[in-house]
Amino acid sequence: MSVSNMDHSPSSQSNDDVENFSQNPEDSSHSPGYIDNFNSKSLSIQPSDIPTKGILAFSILCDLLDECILDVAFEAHRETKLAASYQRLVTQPGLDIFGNRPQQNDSPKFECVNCKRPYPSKRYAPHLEKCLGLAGRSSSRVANLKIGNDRNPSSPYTTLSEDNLNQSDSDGGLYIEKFEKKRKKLNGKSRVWYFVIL
Amino acid sequence: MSESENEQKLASELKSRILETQERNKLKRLLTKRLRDCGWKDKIKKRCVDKIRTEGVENIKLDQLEEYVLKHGREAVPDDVKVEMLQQISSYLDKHVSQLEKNIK
Amino acid sequence: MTSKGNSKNSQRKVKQKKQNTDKKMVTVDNHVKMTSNIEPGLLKQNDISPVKGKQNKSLKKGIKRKAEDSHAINETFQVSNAAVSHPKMSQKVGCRHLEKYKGDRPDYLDNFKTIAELSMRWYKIGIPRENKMLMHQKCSECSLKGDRLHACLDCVFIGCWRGESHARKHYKNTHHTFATDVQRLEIFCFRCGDYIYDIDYDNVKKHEEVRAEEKESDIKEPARKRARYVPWRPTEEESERIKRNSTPFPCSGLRGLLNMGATCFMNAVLQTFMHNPIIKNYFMTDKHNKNICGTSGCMCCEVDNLFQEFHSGEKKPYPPCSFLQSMWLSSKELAGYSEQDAHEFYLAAINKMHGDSHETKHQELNANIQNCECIMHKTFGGCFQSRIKCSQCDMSSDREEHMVEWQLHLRGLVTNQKKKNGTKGSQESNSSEMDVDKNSLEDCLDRYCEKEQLPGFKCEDCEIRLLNEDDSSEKAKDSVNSCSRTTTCKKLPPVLTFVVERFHRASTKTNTIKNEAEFEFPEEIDMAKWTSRGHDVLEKGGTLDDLPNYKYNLLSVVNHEGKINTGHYTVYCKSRDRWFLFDDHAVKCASVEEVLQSKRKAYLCFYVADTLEYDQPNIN
Repeated sequence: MSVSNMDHSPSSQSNDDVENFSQNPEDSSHSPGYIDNFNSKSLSIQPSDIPTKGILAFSILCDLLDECILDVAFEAHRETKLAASYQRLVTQPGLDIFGNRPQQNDSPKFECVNCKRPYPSKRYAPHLEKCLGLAGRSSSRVANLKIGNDRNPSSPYTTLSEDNLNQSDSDGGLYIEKFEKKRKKLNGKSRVWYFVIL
Repeated sequence: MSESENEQKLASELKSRILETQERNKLKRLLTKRLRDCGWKDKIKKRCVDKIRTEGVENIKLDQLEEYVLKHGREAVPDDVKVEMLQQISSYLDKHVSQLEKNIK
Repeated sequence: MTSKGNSKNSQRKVKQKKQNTDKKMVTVDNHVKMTSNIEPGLLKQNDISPVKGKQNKSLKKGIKRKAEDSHAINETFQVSNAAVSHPKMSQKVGCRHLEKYKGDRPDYLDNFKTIAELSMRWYKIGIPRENKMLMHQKCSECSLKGDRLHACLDCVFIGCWRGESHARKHYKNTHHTFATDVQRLEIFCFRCGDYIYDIDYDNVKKHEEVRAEEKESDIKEPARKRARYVPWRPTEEESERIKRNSTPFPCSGLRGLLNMGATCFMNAVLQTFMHNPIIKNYFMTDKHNKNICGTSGCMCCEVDNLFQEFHSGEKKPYPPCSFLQSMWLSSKELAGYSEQDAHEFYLAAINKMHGDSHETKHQELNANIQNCECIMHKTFGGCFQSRIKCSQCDMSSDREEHMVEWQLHLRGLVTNQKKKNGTKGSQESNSSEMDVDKNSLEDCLDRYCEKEQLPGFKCEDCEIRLLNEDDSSEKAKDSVNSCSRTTTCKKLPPVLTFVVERFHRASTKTNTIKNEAEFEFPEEIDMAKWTSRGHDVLEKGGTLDDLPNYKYNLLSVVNHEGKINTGHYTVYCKSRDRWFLFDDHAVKCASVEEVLQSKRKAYLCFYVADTLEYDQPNIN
């Protein structure tokens, strides 16, 4: 069986690495206050060095650090390799992931679920509101709300009542007062917000 | 010569003993956390990913990648992280070296 | 509950399941056709919606899982059993050498499993506090320890990597192509010369990691009983059914949502649900099937429909028409067309889906968030603990508050307002740019959980004591200022939702002001010190090392840009280790850096737990 050309030879690589490292004095002396010329080869200490506690500690630290570097390299290697095998996603700035132009010039029409008439997407919600009778005067709204209420079993805890307000905030500090508008709504008064639609 | 040989032997024994204890895992976890918090991990990872992208995913092997970032990774560690880790390791050695020495002898 | 009782129950359940299987299969077959979407390339677990086996138990067994693999079936659905041999499947598996290797051996995972199990024992599991020695391995040739030993996958050999490189020499001698790094459990192919990543091996590795974590946490929390995790494998019959009735086709689970007229607030929150692993797994495994449920206006059915649409392979953005109608007709809070608040929608959606879910209908009416079995409360429900302490009499009383979110208060106010002379500028109230405190997630949580004095709060015990002692009223005054309150989180939900308080009612004006101060959030966070348990440990001077894992990872960020009335919502979500930006109909790739840069816009931040723990099974 022939060995392919792509075979990587870890031993020769690492030997080179070790030799380069030992010849390069800069690497070990980058931390002030520690012993110069310390050669931090993985796992073994130079025969000439006496194993003082400081050197030992530094050696251990270097081993740990090398391991961390390897972990990061593994992570990066794994992620890029796997990502390449997924469905091809477009990363060009102007386009979305499917390669389409994100601006939708042609807005397709959608059938209203109620009256079955087609409406473009941006107009869909305003139309649906009227179609379902949710817009307009508060009296008809309240009536519709009541209908909506009967359909649903009430849950043991409401989200927008005052219970929630007291529950989730601590005394002192600014209150979120946007719940105010919901309370007003439920009281049948006219809405505080009516956002301008773009 | 035999004295330094003994000491050298002692050193490597100590190291391998240390490997075998839970303390090493703890130290590694601490180091990982510090390196992540200070942004070192993101820097090194970005460097790795950039290198892979320039070389092409199919072309670069992990060991080559490791060799590429090793030097940079070692240098990029902030000093305070190093100091803290060395202190931790030293205090551990203080606690256990004498015991380990006895065990070896 | 003993393990015996557990297995009996599970056996009984399995029997029942088998009896019902045939009936269910009739309706399920069509569903399987539609939703068993398997993409080419590496089969990722989340896409598979196979035959329903034992997954009803997945949410009920006490097991620790990784968050992304929260569903039992997903992790253990043996790809090679059903899908690889599927006629339409063509997938890349690690490398071509591995593919051949797998084809030649039906039991190719056995050796790796053994090595993985041993590796955990050698390198990870030990008993803390006793400093028990782990058994590290040596190279079979030169007895070198430590450095990147690799174990051969075909025989009992461990070789060193650096140094003499005996691992490689072993390959040269024996042509055993694959070896695994003993510590990291990554597979190396000597013929490719590189590490390769394969889903089957990854599954085994994850499984062993989970078991190691289980053992470790058993040591840390011996009181908590856990059922042993049992992986699910499709039977021959089930494999055949899958092959016959399913059509794999590519899909990514990514799809835009059309803006139907100021519905971007809804689209943003819906996208976070679609990429929330727990909710996704619930719906993708048919826990709520819209064909079976049939209730009109059921929001769970609408969400189920959304999942189907998102995994249909269709690239055009989806218009959520029926969702809109259902939501309006049945939720009085959100009825009507207007730009609304994403946070409110989030709360309303939880409430609505709670009401519509089967689990809610079958449980007691006064269940609270903690006990509720519905998917939303299981995902988002947690619990705060408010502790009031009196410094004089050592009285301490706790009060629990259930929550589905964590609201964070920002320090400092940054607004973008038009100045009187017409130019736009950003102005602070009260302080200059330099003095505004940095609002990071950690800072906000620290402030939330710090002790606050309660002036005017009377300690009842002190009052009683003083009355009995018959002392002067001066002492009584002391008791008024002695109480303090600390709020911590007693139970963290699987998905943590942080709500940044950006909308305030200004004291002078009647308008609401948006606070655009920077909110810095990390990609990972360790929640230990803000839990009740962690807080107590720290107060007593202990260390957090012995606590279980409370790490959380960023999952989604909902951003709000612009002014309150005319603003726009977008959301960043993480799907399969990649980040995407969802801007209504447009889905774009994003980077982590980009996500973390949205400090001024971040409004809702979702974090998912790193490891999940399932509840104890209900003892009825």
